[in-house]
Amino acid sequence: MRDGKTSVDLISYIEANFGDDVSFVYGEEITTILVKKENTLKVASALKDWGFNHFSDVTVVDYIDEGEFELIYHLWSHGERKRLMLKTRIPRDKATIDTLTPIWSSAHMHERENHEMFGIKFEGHTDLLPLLLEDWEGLPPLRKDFDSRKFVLEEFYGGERE
Amino acid sequence: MIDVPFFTIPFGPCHPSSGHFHASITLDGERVVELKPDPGYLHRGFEKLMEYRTYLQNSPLVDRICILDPFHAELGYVNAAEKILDIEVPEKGKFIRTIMAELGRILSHITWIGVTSMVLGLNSGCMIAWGDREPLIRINEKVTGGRIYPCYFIPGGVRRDLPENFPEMIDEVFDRLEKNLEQYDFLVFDNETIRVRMENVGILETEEAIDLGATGPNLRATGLKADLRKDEPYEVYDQLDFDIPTQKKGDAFSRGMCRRLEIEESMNIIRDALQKIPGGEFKNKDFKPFTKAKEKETYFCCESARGEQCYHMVGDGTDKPYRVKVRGPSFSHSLAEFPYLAKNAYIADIPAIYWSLDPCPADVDR
Repeated sequence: MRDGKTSVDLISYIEANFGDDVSFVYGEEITTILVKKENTLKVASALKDWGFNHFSDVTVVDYIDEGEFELIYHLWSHGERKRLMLKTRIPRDKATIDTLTPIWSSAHMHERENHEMFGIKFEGHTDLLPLLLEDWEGLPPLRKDFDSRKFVLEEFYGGERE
Repeated sequence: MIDVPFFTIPFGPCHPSSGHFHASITLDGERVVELKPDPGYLHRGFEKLMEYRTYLQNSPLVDRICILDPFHAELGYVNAAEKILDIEVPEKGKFIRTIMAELGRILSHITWIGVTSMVLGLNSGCMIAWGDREPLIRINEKVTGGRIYPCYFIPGGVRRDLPENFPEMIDEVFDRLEKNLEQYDFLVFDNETIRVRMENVGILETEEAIDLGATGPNLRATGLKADLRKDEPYEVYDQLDFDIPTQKKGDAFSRGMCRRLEIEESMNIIRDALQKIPGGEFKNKDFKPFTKAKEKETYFCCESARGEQCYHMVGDGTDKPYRVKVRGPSFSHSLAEFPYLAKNAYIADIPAIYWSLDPCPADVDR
């Protein structure tokens, strides 16, 4: 982070509250906090109290070789003008995690999108209906085992194309 | 008393004031009980497509994310890509990008004035705005070769240099635009048709706005001075002198006024940047079509015309990204703020609320 002082404050605040449950990665510009799946909600709640009031986005990355999904929550503090990434990993075959909608309302639609695109179940989410796709019944399309070239060939070219 | 049941009507996707966006509105008489957004009519699967293409091929692709503000879609993409490709940009390239991005902001805000006037029943506002849009699009064409989709920024700089007579072209267009801004004030912003329909409609408080994920002019209209150009300066914004216009009330009219004032501020930024632009290379020739990225990830945000435009990019050591996540500003505007503001509003206020948020359906669906 750019401002050394506040960055230390944040880290000591999180360490005092969670100790060994969290670890830090210091990037060139953005600090990342790594947490276990079951602690995500608690740590997120503490981060909101610290001042991360803007939930920017959540990215899911499919690490298929490791059999895991990585969820990266992107947070921004309007007061401190700081950015932070909160990272956690969940197994691909049991893709469930607590919803963060009680903490940030803007997480609602982002989680709904990721449920549709990756098939992740956000426990406690009130409305996990499809968002962008129409009548989709196949594999969630942003997973790495969904081959979009094969899909296009089968759907629009009858399986083969010169 | 006769018990009248609630009824549901669709807003879009072919409504003149909805764009390609659909929401189903449940009504109790003229009051909106609930508005359920249903996006997806412009879903093209960019995030998946980008995993199959090289970093250079993705550059023209991201233009299509939002038709109205393609420069910022590119700006966010190339900055994120440069971070994982480890490519430096020459100073002149950064200046050119800043200038063109600000031109894109003016273009987007002028389009907003046009569309909003038309939606609210003031067709002449639309005609004048479209008249002002054309010279700006011609500048786009002369600089980049494309009128609407520039395909101009690439990792490492820009595709080609600014034309020699660029400052004169800008002066000519801006002189005309400055005169017309007075006309906009007279015709649009002081017009009773617009005022009655926008003032005290769709009021958003700062706390609520932040919780709903609002950014850009929609957040600044509530009084918060939040702008990534100042908060996390990218390109050359830290070398330029500019101000961030804000409003206090947070209603539909303030959001519009914020955009109106930003047009002037963007013109100042471009004039300032043209004074300070250095000579030298405009692109880094180390970047090749098949340059491989490092195994790292980055999250980059820029302040687009509508708010926070972010890219999360994961590189895996090949010439194609492993994963790209696009965070468009309209995602929150359409799907979080709009249903919130529509609740308990009159059905007749829905177009004013929707357009005051300036969402871009293409950017929601990606």
